[in-house]
Amino acid sequence: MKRRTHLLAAVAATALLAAGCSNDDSKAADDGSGDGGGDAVTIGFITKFPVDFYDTMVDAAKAWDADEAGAEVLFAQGKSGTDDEGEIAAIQSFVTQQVDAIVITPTSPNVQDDLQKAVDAGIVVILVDNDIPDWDAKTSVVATDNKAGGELAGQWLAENLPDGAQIAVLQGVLGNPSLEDRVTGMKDALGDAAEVVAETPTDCDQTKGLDAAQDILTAHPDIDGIYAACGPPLLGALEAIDAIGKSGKLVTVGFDASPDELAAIGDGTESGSVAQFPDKMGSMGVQAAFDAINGKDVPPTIDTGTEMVTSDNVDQFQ
Amino acid sequence: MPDIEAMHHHRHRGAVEETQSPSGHGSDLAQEVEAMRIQDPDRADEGLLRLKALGALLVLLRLGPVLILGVLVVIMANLSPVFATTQNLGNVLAQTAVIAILAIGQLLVILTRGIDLSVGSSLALSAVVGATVFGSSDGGALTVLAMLGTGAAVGAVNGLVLVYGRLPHPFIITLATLSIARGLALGISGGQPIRGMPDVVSTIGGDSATWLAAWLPNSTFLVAGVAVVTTVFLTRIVWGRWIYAVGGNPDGARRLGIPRSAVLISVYVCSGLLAGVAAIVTSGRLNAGSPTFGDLAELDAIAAVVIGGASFLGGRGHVGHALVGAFMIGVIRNGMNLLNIEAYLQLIVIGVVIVIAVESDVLRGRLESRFRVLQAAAS
Repeated sequence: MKRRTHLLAAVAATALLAAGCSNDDSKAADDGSGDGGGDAVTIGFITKFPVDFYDTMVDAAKAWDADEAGAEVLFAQGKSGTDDEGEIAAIQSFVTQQVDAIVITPTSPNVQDDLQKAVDAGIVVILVDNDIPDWDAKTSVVATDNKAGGELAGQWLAENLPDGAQIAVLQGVLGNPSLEDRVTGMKDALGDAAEVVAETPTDCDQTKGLDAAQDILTAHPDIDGIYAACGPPLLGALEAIDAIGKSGKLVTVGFDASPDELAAIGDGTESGSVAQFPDKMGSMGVQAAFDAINGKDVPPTIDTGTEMVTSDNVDQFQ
Repeated sequence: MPDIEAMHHHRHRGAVEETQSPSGHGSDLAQEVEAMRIQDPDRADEGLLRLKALGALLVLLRLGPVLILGVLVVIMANLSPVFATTQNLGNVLAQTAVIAILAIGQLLVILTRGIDLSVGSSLALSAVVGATVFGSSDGGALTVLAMLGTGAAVGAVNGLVLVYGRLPHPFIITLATLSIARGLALGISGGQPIRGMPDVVSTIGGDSATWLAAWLPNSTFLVAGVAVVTTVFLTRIVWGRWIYAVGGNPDGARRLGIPRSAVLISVYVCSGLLAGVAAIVTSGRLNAGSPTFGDLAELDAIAAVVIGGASFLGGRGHVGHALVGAFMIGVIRNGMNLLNIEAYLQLIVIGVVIVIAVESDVLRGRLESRFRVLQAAAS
């Protein structure tokens, strides 16, 4: 009897946790009671943390949900870009709620074991934005092809840098494969068109980007351009370039095309940025999950595409 | 000043006795020296020689962090032709300003045997609040006040909950505010950096003192000002002595009737306030307020205090320690960037420097007690 009470308490606590994790106030409550549709499938959507990039994804998934009567999308989110524990808790609560599919932007391969348990429980798992390369039980990866995005930037740099140019690279986070792909792709496409004289990791942090760019511009005052594997460090670098009176005179290319980058491209202080499409990741991610639940074939990788944003087309992105 | 020195030594002896007396090193050694003297006068001279050697070693160890910083500077200057230029000195000063300011705040807290883990998040929250206030008011003074006030408010929460919540350790409440302040910063800003800072902020944080030297960042004056004011507070007014007493000898402080609660609350408010000051520098440098500012800055600040030679157990340390530690971190990062060295090595080097600094401090503590015993026996 006592044990049963404990069990009940645990189940209740998990349910409360799940309700707390859910951002969808309108639908979470009547989920399962099948609001008229009978066999609506449920999809749990887990994103990393509340910044614009993931909010855009969530908004697109909500819009998809509003149009698709046969599905309910539940939402959960971690606390930071590295909050493995938060994502694991969300996965476990979705498994407890017996969702049909989990769509997740995994923080790291550390969440793999719990995703495997979800798959073992008959749940379809779709990875969005980041892959877990060594894990085979996923149904599909819906993401930017970061290497292709890097190649796009490398090509553009090769065309727009002077002959014999020297550039510096602001790397992202060490040990993050998608960010490293953006640098490898860029270098592959750049080829011999320019020499990379400095490479510094920045943790995709604006302040660290400013510090690194200051040091690079001191050690190599004559560089012609800077490429950054993510947006914030490039914005920091723009401040360092501005401080030595060279604003707009260096070729500067970032990755992400965040709102501040778009503004900088608009006023001519940044040359360009590789845009990703988080909205497509959101809608195509839940669509892939929906198709897989309904027995349709889903390709193992779905590229959400990249596009080079420059002063020529920045209007379309703002 | 002399009375401070005396107090310093006295306090320190107390701390050493507390941590090491069970082994009974001191009295054994005294007996040993005394025995030597009685048995053989020549060996007493030998003892005197040992005393001198030990004294010289102690001077070296006390200077340890400054020496390590000096060695680092010489190494970097030899490896990179641009390291020892005024432009690069300006870079180092600008890049170290935030760590230095946070480290001075952290020093005050650590002197009371505390720790403040919330400063990085407080910095972000202050910056975001400042940017929001500026966006809706356009007022420079108001923005600065909002930033300082936000930092001080987080500090006040830390201090008040610690004291009146009767928490066993400040680790817990500052860990909580680390999370809360970062969450508020993300929430208020919607996860996005907010562009635009008033002229006064970008002048303080981002510009150089062109009237004096184009390479000299204005933030250097801010760091110097904070350092001088804090030093005066710590050494010239009774509040400063209370801080040392609360951390160095809590029981004694209680018996002397020192207002422990007020002292504790005040150091957390100061640490929070200085996080607000650091926010002005970061926001000025980047002309924005972003919820990602100051990520892990609390660890840099704590590392700076410990590397610089202040005692992590409270009661011993001064502003110079915090500054030396901050510059050591700054010089390592800057030098490695100039030399284009892989970042993982930076992390390893900083970790190794922490271990060396703390070990040399432990060694210094042991030798000091030995030295005093030998001195007492010789005289």
